Amino acid sequence: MLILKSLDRIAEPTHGYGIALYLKQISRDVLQVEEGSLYPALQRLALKGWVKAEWGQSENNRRARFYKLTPAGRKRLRQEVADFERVLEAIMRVMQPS
Amino acid sequence: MVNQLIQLWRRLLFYLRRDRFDRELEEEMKFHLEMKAGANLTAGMSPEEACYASQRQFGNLTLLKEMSRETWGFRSLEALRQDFRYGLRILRKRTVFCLTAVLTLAVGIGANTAIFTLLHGLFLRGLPAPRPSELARINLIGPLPGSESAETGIPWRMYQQLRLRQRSFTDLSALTIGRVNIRDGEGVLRMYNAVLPTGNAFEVLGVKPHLGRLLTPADDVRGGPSMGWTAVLSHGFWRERFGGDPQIIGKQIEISNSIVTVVGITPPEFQGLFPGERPKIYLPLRFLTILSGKADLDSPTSLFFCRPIGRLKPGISLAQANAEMAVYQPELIRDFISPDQFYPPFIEKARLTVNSARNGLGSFWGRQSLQPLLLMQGLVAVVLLLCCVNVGGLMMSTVYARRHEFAVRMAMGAGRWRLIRQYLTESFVIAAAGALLGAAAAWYGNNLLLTFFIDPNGQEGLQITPDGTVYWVTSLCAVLTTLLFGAAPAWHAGRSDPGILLKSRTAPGGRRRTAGRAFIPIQVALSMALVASAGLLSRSLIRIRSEQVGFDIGHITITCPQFHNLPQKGDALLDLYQRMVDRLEQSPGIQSAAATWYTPMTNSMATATFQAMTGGATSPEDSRLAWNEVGPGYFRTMQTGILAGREFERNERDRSVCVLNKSAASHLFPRQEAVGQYVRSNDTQQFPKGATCRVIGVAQDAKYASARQQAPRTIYFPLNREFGGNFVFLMRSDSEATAIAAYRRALAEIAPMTPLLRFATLEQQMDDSLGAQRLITLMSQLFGGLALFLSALGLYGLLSSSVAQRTGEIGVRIALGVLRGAVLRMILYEALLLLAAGILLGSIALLLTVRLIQGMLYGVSPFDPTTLIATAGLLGSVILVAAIIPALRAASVDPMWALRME
Repeated sequence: MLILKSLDRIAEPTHGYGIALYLKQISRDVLQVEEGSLYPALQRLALKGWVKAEWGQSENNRRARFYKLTPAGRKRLRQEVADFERVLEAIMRVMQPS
Repeated sequence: MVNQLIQLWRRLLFYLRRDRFDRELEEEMKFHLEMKAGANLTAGMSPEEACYASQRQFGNLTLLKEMSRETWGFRSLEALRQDFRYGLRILRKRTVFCLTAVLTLAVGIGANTAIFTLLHGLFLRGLPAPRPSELARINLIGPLPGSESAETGIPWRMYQQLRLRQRSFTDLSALTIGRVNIRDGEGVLRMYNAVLPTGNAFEVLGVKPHLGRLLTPADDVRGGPSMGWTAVLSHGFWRERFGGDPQIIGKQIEISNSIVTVVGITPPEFQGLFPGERPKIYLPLRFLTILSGKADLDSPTSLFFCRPIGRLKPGISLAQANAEMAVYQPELIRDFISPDQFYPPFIEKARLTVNSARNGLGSFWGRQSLQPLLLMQGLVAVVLLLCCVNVGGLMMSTVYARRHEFAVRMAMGAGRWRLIRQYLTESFVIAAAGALLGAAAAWYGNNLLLTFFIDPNGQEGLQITPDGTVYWVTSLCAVLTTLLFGAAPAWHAGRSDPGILLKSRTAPGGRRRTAGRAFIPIQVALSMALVASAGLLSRSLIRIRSEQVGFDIGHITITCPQFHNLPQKGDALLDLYQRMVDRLEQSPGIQSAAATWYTPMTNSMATATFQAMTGGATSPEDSRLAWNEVGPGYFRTMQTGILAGREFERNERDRSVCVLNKSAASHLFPRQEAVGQYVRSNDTQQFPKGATCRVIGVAQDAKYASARQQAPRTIYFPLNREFGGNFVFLMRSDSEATAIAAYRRALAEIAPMTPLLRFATLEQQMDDSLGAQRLITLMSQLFGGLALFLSALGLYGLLSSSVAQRTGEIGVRIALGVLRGAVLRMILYEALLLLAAGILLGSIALLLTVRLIQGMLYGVSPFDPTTLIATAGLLGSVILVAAIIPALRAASVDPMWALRME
């Protein structure tokens, strides 16, 4: 979900390093995972058809693989976000002092 | 669902391009690392530190790559590939085991495929027409002499009426079979079966021409189309007789003295409507008037029966069609079957019946061979089972031999399932190789098998060629056998205990040796059933052949000239037969010759009811006698003795005289001399004018339809003018070649316009009439032998490995003073125990088998003691021979050497 959301937010095709950087920034270093585990996850998303990979030129003129969200991926993201919000709401209600 | 398919497709793409994927992933990760290192550098680290830090943050590079790959990959597919490779490598190392297993399975699968090919071709294959299950045939089914519910066609005029009235079929067509004479490549006239369909038949069937066009209603008109009669050739006949020449379309050929134009070729996959038969040529149904010389098929007195086949309207079931027929039936039978022309019980009880014609119309071979083929299929299924048991046993011994390998794999983390799968994969490799070889053998063995299905009546033999379906069956066999023989060893492999790695290699112990042991009694039991059946069947065949048939079967050549197609009728025709016989008897090398209606050993005979007349009074009692018509010199040529009176003379040409055989004479005239008495028959079905005849001779009993049946009570009439019959020549000569040469000379001289037909010796005819019996006997002998060999091999393998495992133990025993004789006895005792268990099981198997083959036995009791004792003896001695080698090896174990191994 996080990857999908990042791709959605960045709004333009991004390479793996870019996604990792973005995740780190946006979560203010809270979400510190092994950066490499991004790649198996990206492969999973590609297999499901939620992201699409294309080779292109990076900002420093290197060949890099750029990922972008597909319509199916966007749909999936909406669904996941909705689910997440529902769960979050439930948790919040439980945690709220009554 | 769709999503899953798309995913599968992506996976497949990936699998095909996995090298590129690896490269790309590598590059992508490298890019990431470098970017990261660059960032770290900017943050003020030293280049080296930056590099390390980036790697640290990234994680385990190889593992991540592996994980990515796994996401996409067919992990199971790759593992399967590994299993295959590994299996092949292992199997290549064990050539002897592998060859034995593959050959064994090839025999089992090959035999099953071969027999199933015939069963499928005769009974299961749908006609090569669109939607064959819509096709249905209409028959009259009712009692006829000799059969309670005989199936016949329906009268031609009834068919025409029915076609107009019926509502269940989109259309009805009909056909009949005729014989046509066509010159072969060398100009010799040959006779072939032709199918004569109504003009709409090909359209009803939905068959499309290979070349030209097929017959249409315009071809099938009274008197023939204005452009002359037309014909369609079958693909096979076109290839074989005309070399597949496409120019033949539009050419004229001569068929039975008429000129017809070839208009088309049927497609190669269409082999006619009669399973097992291959008609050569298709002619319009009304061409029958030319072939048979009948003036008009449509006249009310016409007795012509045709076989209707139609296509049911969509949604109409057979039951609905049958219900419709039942409505018309009384009227149709009243209008079109006249009581004075038909067997009265038939008229009373016959029912108009619609049956599926999905597989075509009932054929001679269909009726003849269902029983024996089912029996054979059962036999070969047992053989396949035996082969599986045997290979399973062999595999089992390899599980033990490979226990260390499995234990190592297990200890290194291989799952049980993986080991099981490994074994099943190996089993499958063996089964697949066996199936491949077996299918090839079945393909080439097909022709050999067909030689056992030759019609003794001189018609064409069974014609079936394997087709694609058979490969599916073979493949299925392969998978099934894999599971059958591979399951137990695989399970055992899966139970491998890594713990044995820690134990000594030659640790003594009892339980672990038992693997594979259970297979031996099963093998022995199956072999016993097969060997005993082979024994019983062989003895039956010997009995059948050696029994007195009542004539001298050697040196007689027979051929049927088909003179009934000639213009001569009545006395002129009989004269022609007589002139041929005279000419033949003058020929050098021919000792005697005669003409007859039925020849013996064709699996068929004619019967009718007769009464004895004594002193002017007809006995009230009907006796059913077999009857035949024979020319002068018949008994002399057959060497059937005349016990009293004489045989027929040239001037005797009607049913006023007869010869009885001994049992008929003593049955009809129990206390008196038969010669000079009278016999009569009111059986108008057989003799429309009745018959009253004086007995002029009594002949020795002779077998008639088949060597399997006792000689029936028989009455012989002379060849006579009433019966415009189709007679057969019998020639007694030293060799068949002499007889054929003499016959061809005589025919060229006396009746040059007749076709030359198949020659056969009476011995061949007897063999052909016993075809199914001979085949089953041969197969049971072959497979019985194979079964014995396999059992011996299995036992030998088992005992050898058992002795090898117990070398140490035996060494200790010998060192402790156990006599070598006792060791020998110990191993032999083990073998005998298995043998006893096998024989016990075998007795049960035998009880079941005997019930199956009972119908094939002749003059032998199913529990013939000689055969049973011989079987047990044979089984015992083979098993002992197989056991004695490992036993001797055990007895000669050197205790020092054995102990040193400990």
